[in-house]
Amino acid sequence: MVEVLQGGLQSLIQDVGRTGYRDFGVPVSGAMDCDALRIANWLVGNPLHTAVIEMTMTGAFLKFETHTFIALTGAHMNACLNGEPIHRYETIAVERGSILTFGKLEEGFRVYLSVAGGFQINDFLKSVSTYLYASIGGLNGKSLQKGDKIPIVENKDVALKKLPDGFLKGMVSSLLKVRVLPGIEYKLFTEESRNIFFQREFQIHGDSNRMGYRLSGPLLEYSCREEMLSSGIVVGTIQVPEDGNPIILLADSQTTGGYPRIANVASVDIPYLAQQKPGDKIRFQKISLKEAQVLYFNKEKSWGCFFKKA
Amino acid sequence: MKKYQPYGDDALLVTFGDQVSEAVHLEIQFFLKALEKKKIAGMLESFSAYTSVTIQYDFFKVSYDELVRQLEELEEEKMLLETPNIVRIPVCYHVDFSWDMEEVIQQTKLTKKEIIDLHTAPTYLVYMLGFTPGFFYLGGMHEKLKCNRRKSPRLRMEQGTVGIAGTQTGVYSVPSPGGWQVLGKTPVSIFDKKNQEAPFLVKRGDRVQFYEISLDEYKNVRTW
Repeated sequence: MVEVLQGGLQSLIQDVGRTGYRDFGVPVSGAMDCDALRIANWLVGNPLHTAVIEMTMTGAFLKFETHTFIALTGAHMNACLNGEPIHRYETIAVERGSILTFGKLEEGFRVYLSVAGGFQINDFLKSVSTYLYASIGGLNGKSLQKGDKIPIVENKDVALKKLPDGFLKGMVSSLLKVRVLPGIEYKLFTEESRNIFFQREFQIHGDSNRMGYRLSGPLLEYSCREEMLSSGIVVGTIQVPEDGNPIILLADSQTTGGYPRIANVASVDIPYLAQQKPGDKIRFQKISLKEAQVLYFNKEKSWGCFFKKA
Repeated sequence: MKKYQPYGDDALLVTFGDQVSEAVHLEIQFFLKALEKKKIAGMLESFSAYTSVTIQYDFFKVSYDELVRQLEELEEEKMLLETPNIVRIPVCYHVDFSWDMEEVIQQTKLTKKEIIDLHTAPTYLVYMLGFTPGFFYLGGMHEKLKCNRRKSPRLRMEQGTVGIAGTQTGVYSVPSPGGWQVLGKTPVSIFDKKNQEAPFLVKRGDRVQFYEISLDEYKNVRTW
C-alpha cells in the first residue's frame, strides 16, 4: 500500500493508454512520456506497459506501507527518500514506512514513478489511465489527493538495475527541435506561413495541459477560409485555430477536431516534447514519412535489444 | 472516390467526400463493416467522422503503402445494413432545465410547443461520436430550429443537458463548458461510467429520437 501524504499539482495513474474507443469519443490518454514509463517499469522488472504515477511540475509525497522497489524516470525533481537524495534511472529498494518527497523541478516537466509488481487498480475500458475531463480511470478518475491509498501488487525481490550513462542522450535541451510531417491541411496555409512554421521559434504557452500544448509565436494564416468538417485527431496533430496560434494535441486530446492541421509530430519526438514545460521554446523541422518511421524503428530496435539483454 | 493520405507517421486518413450527407455516411458504414471483417494485420484502431475515417497502424507490421493497397482491396458489400438501432431518449423541457427557451423562441419565432414538437419529431442519424466520451453528432434537425450559439459559452453544462446550435442538436455526455442553447435535460446517461461492459448509449449509425417527459417522470427515471 502507498499512502498519499500530499498530492502534488497533478499526479495521475497512467498506463500506455486506452485504445479502441476513439470511435465512441474516448481519448487515448496514457503517459505523456511513454519512454519514461517503459524505462521505469523495466527498472523494477514489470511488464513495460504497467501503470505508473505521472507527476507534472511538482511531485507527490508518498508513504510506503510495505517493503518494495521503485524507480523514478523523466524529470529531475530533487527526489528524496526519507530525506536522502535518490537518483533517477535506477532501481531503489524502499523499506516499509519510507517517505518519498520531491523538491524543486530542475529539468524536464514530468516524473514517473514505478513500483515493482505495479499498482492494483480497476481498469475502465481496458486501461487504468486517468482521464480527468470525464473522470475515468485511475483513482475515481481523479488526480492523487492527500489520504488516498493505492494498493500495490505483492512482489518478490527484484534485481537492482541502472540505466547506462548516455542512454538518453539529448533528452533535454533549452531549444528543442521537434520533427514533424506535413499535416492533412498543410497546403491550406499560405506559403509564407508554411515557411515561417519551420523557420521561427514557438513558445509553449502557460495554458497548456495533457490535452494539448498551446504555442505562441508568429501567427499562421490560411490561404483561403473554408468551413472545415470535424475529422479524427491523432496524438501529435498540430492544429491551427482561426487566431493563428498552433496547438499540439496530446494524450488527452479530443478524438475529433475541426481546425486545419498544419503538421504532425513524429512519434519518436512525442516523449521529448512531453518533457517540455510552459515557457520552453521549440522549433519545427520537416521530415518525410519514411524518415519518421526509420527514426522510430531504429530507436525501438535498439531499445528492444537493450531491454531484452539487460 | 476515396482519398488516402498519410496522417502523421502511424496513421492514415481516408476521406469519402467533402459534404455531410447520409449517402457519404453510408459509404463510411460499408467501408468500416468490410474493414471489421478483414482484420488487416498491423491495423490498430479506426474511428470515423462526418466524411472521413482515421486509421492508426503499427508500421512495424504493415507499411503505409501496403495498408492502402489492402484497404483498396476491401470487398464492400454495398447493401443496406441491418435495420438501424433506434435509441429513444427522454427529455424534460420543463422550465427548470430549458434555460435558453426564451432565447430560442425569440430567434426562431416559434412557440415553446412548436419547438418541442419539431425537436422530438425526427429520427436523427448519429453521424459520429467525439468531443467527449459517448457524445454523438446528430443530423436531421429541422431547419426552423436553426439558431445561433450563445454569445458567451457557459463554463459548465451538466451531463444530460440537451441543446441546439446552428443546425445541430445533442446531449452533453460529461460536464463540460459549452455554447449551445439549452432546451432541456435527459435523466438517462449517454455515457455511463458505472456500466463497464456498455457505457455508451448510442453508436455511429444509430438513430436517435427524443421524446418529452414531465418533471415528475424526469425525477423517476434519473439514473445518475
